[in-house]
Amino acid sequence: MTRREERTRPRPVYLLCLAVPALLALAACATDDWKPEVLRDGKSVRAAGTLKHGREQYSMYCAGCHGENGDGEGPAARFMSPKPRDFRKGRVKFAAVPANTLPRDEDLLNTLNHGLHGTAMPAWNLVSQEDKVAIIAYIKTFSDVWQKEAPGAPVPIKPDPWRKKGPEKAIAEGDRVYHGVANCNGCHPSYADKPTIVEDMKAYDITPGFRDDMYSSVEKESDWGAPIKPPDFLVDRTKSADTKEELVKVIAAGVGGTAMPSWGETLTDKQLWGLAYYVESLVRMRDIEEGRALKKALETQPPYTLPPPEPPKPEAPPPSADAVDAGSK
Amino acid sequence: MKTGRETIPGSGLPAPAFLAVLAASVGLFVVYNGLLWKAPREASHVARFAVSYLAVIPLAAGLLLALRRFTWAHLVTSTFAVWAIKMVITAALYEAFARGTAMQLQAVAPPPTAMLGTAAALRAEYRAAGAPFAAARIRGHVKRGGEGVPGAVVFLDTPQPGRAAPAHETIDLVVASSRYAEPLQLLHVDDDVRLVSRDGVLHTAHFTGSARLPPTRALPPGAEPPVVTFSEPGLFRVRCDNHEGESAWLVVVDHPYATQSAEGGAFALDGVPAGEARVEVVAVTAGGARRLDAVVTVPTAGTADLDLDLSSAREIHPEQP
Repeated sequence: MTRREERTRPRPVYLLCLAVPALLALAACATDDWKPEVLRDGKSVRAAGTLKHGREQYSMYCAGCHGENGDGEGPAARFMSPKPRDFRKGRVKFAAVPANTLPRDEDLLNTLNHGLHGTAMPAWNLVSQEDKVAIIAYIKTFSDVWQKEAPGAPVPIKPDPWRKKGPEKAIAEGDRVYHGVANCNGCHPSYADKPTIVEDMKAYDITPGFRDDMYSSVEKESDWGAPIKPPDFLVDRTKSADTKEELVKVIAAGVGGTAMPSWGETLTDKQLWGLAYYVESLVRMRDIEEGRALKKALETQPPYTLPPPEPPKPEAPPPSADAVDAGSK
Repeated sequence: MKTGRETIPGSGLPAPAFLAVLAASVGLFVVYNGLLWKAPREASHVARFAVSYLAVIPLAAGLLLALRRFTWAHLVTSTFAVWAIKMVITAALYEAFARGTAMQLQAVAPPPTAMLGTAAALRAEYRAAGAPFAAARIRGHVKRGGEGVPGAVVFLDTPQPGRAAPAHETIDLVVASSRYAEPLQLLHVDDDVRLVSRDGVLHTAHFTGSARLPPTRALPPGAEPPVVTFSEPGLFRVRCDNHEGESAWLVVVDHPYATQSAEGGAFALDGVPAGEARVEVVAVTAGGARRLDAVVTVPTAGTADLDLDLSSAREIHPEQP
């Protein structure tokens, strides 16, 4: 072999350096210890293919925010407020089941279909329903709570009792409930003037009182690792509901892990739907002149002094011995 | 300038030196921050990647200097050549061993609908003994700093089958003047728990805890008290979202061996099966809630004495009981 042939001929060591990693890379590509068919107790209702497909779709559409482990710590999560949901908790905020109970597949699908307004969670119109179902099946592998519990039953919602009576009466009832029995303005802003609020509270035997900054929301503790400020309906977009039909479900079920309780078993149907009508009327005024004018009027109302507390009603005296004797004769 | 027999033309490094740099950087990748295949699932491998790549530069530079072949061109060529080959090797190793990827997750599918009724069987339920057993007694005091602690909940953790669990009761959780009447209450699984408010303001009952939670309920003035049940035993906390400081702790058990200490901290658990028993105590003191456990051997048809000193009890975090 000539010196020139030696120089042009590939050296064995060089070839080895290329061959070994190439073979390793090929072996790594073939390695797949993913075994969706390996399941706890050996039982399954989902085809292995569905879970595998769900994993692929999740990796493509969801992992960037929700994280590869479903912990809500994807690469984009640190830029987001509110944070992406941690699926390991097995709980979500918005569902038709009572707050803090296990959501159904339909609740998860609803969030995928509609998104959450004002957050980074979009409506996934570009993903087919079949793919969404597969994603949900995969999401449920992040927590064994779906093994241990049955999903909650949806809060029953009766038909709208105000349908034939007109929205004005419903909104008026909702206004009374909002500032009265439900005390929604304990967390959300008040949307009525102070004298009206006092009357609403007295109608339900509630001790009248105003909190500081009553025309703003107040931040509340939550179970999601950060405090949450309830929406100001004239300013903020409601995340999961805009219409009264959607709002009544959120009010009835509550919002999981937050200060928003389930009202479905506490309020009557008229009160529940009235509240939904009222909040919808506020939502429609969001970011328009009418809503801004209302807010300005409330914030610039004349000074008001709370009426003195009413004296407690005296207890009826026990019947005298003469009255008892007279009655027994 | 001598080039000699370079592994990669232009790298300036002969085969042994080139392989040494490559082996060193791959070795660093495998061992830095712990062995790659022993890394926990949540481990970050960013530092491992960064150090193993960056280390190539000084290694290659050192060898080139030692061989008197250092030029910037040789350094750049040898570094990029090592990186190119190393990239393939470390990618294959990462895929094969690292557990921080979605592909490594084990899928656990939900059980069939027919199985949902047996979901409760997945946790160990207490069952009464089917035959007579030698009943014994555990008695003692709950103390802190030498003083007896009343109201502490003392209970057995996963007791052996013994006497039957008590029948379900209706228990009132009472709020008055924005405070829970009892800061710590003992409940049994499936008891009907009425949330009673005696105030003229809105309260809420927001539950956090170690097991399945009841939904958050509103307690408007004058309304019928809502009723919740706990379907699983555990330690829970209930708080009001509208009133700071309005909270209580709830210990829920599914067996009969639980009690609350009396004045002076005295307690007694009767009808306990003989043998080893783990006794737990939860108490609410000025500093917050605390829990402690101890193991005691219960003699057959006898009495085991056990004093529980809360000085060494651990604090319970409100949101992670």
